[in-house]
Amino acid sequence: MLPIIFIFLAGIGLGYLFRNFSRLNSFTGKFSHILVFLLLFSLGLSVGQNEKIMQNIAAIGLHSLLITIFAIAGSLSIMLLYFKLRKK
Amino acid sequence: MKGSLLLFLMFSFGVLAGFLYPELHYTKTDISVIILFLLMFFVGLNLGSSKELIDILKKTDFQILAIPLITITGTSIGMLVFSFLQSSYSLKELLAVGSGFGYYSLSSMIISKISGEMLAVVALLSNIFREIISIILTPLMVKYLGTYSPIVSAGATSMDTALPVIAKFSGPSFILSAVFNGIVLTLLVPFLVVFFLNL
Repeated sequence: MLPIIFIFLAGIGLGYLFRNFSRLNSFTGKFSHILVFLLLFSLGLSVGQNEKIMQNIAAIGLHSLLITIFAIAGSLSIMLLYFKLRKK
Repeated sequence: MKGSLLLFLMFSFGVLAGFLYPELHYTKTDISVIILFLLMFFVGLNLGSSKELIDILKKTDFQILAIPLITITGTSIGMLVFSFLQSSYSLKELLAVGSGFGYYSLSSMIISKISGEMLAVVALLSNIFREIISIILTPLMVKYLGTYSPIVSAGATSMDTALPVIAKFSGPSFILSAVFNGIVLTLLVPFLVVFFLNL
């Protein structure tokens, strides 16, 4: 999946070079929004056709929520620790 | 928030269509890989050409840099702890999902190409939850855990969807830190997700 990274970097480089074309800027924003729509629809399509996912969707939803809670709790804990250490 | 809802609706339409028409075959691998590449390119273009990027990178001091580092370290530690409590997902899968930092569209797309739909759905839902929970809990977090808490909680979304509520409850002086945190994390999402899945 290295192509993803290279394409991303190429985009950043070109974006930086052409940063003064404001018309380009508003176009890329809109266009990537449409692409996200298409991608999410196509992901939805393959998920809907995947029986294993459809039968376990409640469990998957619960797992996802737990992951979120741990991700947020971890971030907040390290933040509190950082500010506590910095005060000393 | 409205935008996220629309996108989730789009995903739900897809699920419904796929569920109702299981025989519907489309060359999903070729087309969606090309769309993903296009998306990566345009997200890069957008980031590279954003006026804020350079301004903010110039103002970098240690405090402002510490916030995204805290978000990344804290999320990873949260995932490490969670990996000991269950056996459905491996640590590297959890780290990849966590590394979406709320940027659900991009992280779930990359994950779906590398690990398949199952983990992609987890990434999609989990990162949507991160965005929504962060926005909803911002007033409470600011009150009890301090003004930087909604920024580390919102992750990559602290520069767009969560920004208005952060500006309101943490105060306008936190906008710079929120946008910086969001830009750094958005930049790092593709790298970290690909990195963790290839461990």
